[in-house]
Amino acid sequence: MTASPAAPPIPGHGAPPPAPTSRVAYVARGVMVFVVGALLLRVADAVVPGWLGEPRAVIRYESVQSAERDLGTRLMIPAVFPDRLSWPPIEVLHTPGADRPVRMTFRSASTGDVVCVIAQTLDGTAALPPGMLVEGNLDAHVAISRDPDHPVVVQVVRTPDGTVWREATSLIQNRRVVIRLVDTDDTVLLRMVRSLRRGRV
Amino acid sequence: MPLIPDLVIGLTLHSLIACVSVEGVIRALAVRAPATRIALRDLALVLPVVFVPVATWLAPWRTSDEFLAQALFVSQRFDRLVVGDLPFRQSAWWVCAAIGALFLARDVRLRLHRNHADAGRDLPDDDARVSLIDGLVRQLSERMGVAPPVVRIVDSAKPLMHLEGVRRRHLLFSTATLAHLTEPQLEAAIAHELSHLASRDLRRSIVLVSVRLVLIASPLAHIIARRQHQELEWRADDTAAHVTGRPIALARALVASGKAASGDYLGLLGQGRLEALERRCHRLANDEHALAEPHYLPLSLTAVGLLVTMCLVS
Repeated sequence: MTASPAAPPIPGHGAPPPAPTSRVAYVARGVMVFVVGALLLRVADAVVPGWLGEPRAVIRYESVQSAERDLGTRLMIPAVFPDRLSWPPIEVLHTPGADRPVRMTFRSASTGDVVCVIAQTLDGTAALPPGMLVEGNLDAHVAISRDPDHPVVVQVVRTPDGTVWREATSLIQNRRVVIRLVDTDDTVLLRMVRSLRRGRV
Repeated sequence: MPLIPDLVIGLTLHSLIACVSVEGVIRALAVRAPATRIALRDLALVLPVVFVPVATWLAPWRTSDEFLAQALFVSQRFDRLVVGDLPFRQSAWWVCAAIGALFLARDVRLRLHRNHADAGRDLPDDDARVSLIDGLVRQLSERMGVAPPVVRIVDSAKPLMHLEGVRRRHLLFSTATLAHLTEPQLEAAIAHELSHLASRDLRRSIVLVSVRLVLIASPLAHIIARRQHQELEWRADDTAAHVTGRPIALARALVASGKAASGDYLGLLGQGRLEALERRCHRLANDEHALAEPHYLPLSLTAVGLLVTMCLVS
């Protein structure tokens, strides 16, 4: 059996495939297009959130002070701070969302479990973004608003891990502040809400 | 409920990214072979249409908070900017859709205008011109390995020559075309049309229009689709030049048809059409008309790059 002769080359045949030696450079040029493209997309993605003054993703601060320094404002912290909560918070997060939402999480001084979460918006009273607080089932709803200028709504929420939280939502100084506390009644929670002020006393 | 579903906006966004990336690859890698460029642009047009619904369906984690925190162009972030009472992504979509609709309407109008036969009647089968063209078509079809289409010659002062029909193919000529072209030019022009038939370009054109309708709000997809039509013409030119061995005859046929059509109202669009004609003649005259199979290295590189990029975008 004889091998069929190779087809004669066609003159001016398009761009020839790259030689093995230049193949790496050829692939590198192609990869570079996508790398540069991804960087440009990343920059474009930051334009609108930057315009709105929001972070692109969650920012984690080492302390309340560093968060306040970076955000340019004092956080609302209750002056009444039960001894059973440990200070400082284990995390301070600034998340994307309307009116610059921030969340602080506190552990129990004795057990180390997370027993208190304080979430607040810094530039208005917009609702907190989804995921800022763990979604839970409403066990009971108690509306408390003795002062019409300083409404407080308290409800009992059960999170999927079985924890029962007392949650107080308050609009104060053009901010929405939500405090979640693991407790059996509302007394301490309400004292904390009413003692909210900018900065730690 | 948003006015435009997120899926549709995602489709447009992915299409814009794919189009820019593919044009970047074509330029960075100096891709010259029409077959490779056609394949790359097919990828830019079709991949977003397939990827976005499939990814939405098969990867529900793409809606998780963890993914959205890292993904690019997430609606929750962008839609807090409101433009004209609409969230940013929605208002941007409407602007792009208006531009895209203009592109599409312009191209459809041009195509209808170009192919309109002015209601000329068909020449009878015993006309000498019909037998001559039929013989040429059969001879070339055999050489090119395609089933010969039915030849139809209409009595019209407008120079026409194109394939029509999806199921049963007709090769339509006008008497004006036959009057303006010599036999070698006709042979080259018929080979060009048969090349469209062999490459199933008519079906491809239908798919292209469908994709353009789906990607109505992606102006770059419309531009790429127009380039794709140009590339298909170039590829048909290359095949015709290769089969007949007469690239110059084909170039002359193009010029003769262009001259005969100069009485048509072309407006600003005519300028672009004449430039395209000039470029095709230049390719044929300067031995740039070689046939080439698609090169798979730029294709695979682009496919992987696009998929990775699309995975990063919401």
